[in-house]
Amino acid sequence: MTQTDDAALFDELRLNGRRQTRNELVERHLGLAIHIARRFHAGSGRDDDIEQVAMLGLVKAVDRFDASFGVPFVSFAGRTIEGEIKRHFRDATWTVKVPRGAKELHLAVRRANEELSASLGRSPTVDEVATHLGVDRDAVITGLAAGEARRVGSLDPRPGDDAAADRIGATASAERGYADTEDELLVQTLLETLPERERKIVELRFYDELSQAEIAERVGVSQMHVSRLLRKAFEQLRQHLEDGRD
Amino acid sequence: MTERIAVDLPLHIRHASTVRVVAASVAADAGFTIDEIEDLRLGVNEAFSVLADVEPHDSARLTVEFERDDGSVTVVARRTGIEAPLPPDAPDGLARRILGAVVDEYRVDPDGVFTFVKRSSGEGHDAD
Repeated sequence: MTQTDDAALFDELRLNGRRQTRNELVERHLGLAIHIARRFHAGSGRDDDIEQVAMLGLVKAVDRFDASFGVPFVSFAGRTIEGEIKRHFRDATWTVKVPRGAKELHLAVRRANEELSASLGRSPTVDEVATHLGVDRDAVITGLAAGEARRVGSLDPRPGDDAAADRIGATASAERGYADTEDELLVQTLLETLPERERKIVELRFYDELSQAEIAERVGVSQMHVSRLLRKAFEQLRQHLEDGRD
Repeated sequence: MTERIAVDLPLHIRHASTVRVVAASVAADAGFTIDEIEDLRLGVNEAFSVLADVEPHDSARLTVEFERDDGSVTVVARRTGIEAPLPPDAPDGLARRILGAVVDEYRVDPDGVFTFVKRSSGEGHDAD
């Protein structure tokens, strides 16, 4: 596959406008779309949704490409596909509609959290995020609030966390007896509503009491990703329980 | 220094976001990290879910007190204006599992007062 071949096909497409030529261009670059999609779900297994979004981005790139842009099609297509996937993450994964301003603020806070976590080696404070983004503390809190449907963070036990016994005691009180067993059955039933990977991660957290870092190592994804999956799973579990009560 | 902040609002799940915003603000003042704030907010969510699980009632209200101490936030939530007691097995199994994963201590008293504590790791204080 060469740039010259692409140029010839685009010339042909412009002249004849045939679907077959368009399809040929798409097929020639399917590998690029899949490659970019996999970068976005690296380590988390195949994600058909993202690959579909990448394909859509590729088709859009073919339809919009103009040789007069002065860049090779591969570069243009790469940017278009990436843009499409990022839009997918931004829009499709929100379960409630929030104003774009707040949504973008939330994404900015989330991004800052990731960047600062990487550089500081710990989750940042609100003030650190505010300084990083050049906004005030209220804006960061607003950004956090806008993330109602997608919470980000770590559940790892922290240094000095001596409350493990409290947790265990609270969840395994002998006084609860039979009700406890029923509750466990309910939790197990709810867990079955989760996709396999999320269920596995929640089970490792609930029952094996592994830290996020340990889960990440066992499952083969990043700790940050485990964190997100856990929070999303908690929300889904709660939602399923509420729906079941209605 | 201990500081107390209280909010009083109708007992309806749609007001949970108000309490979560207050929780985030209090925790930010306590020097919590973003992750710790998110944990606290999840805890608030669970407490709200448990306490608001009643038939809608015009007079039913929820009072939530946040007590900020050095490196910890204690949340005390109680229903008022409603006679219905909490179910004996409250919080439900899911809430117990989630609370166990996100806060350091929690309890529900026989009179229906829901208390939980989230402690900071102190990592955020490194920034001071």
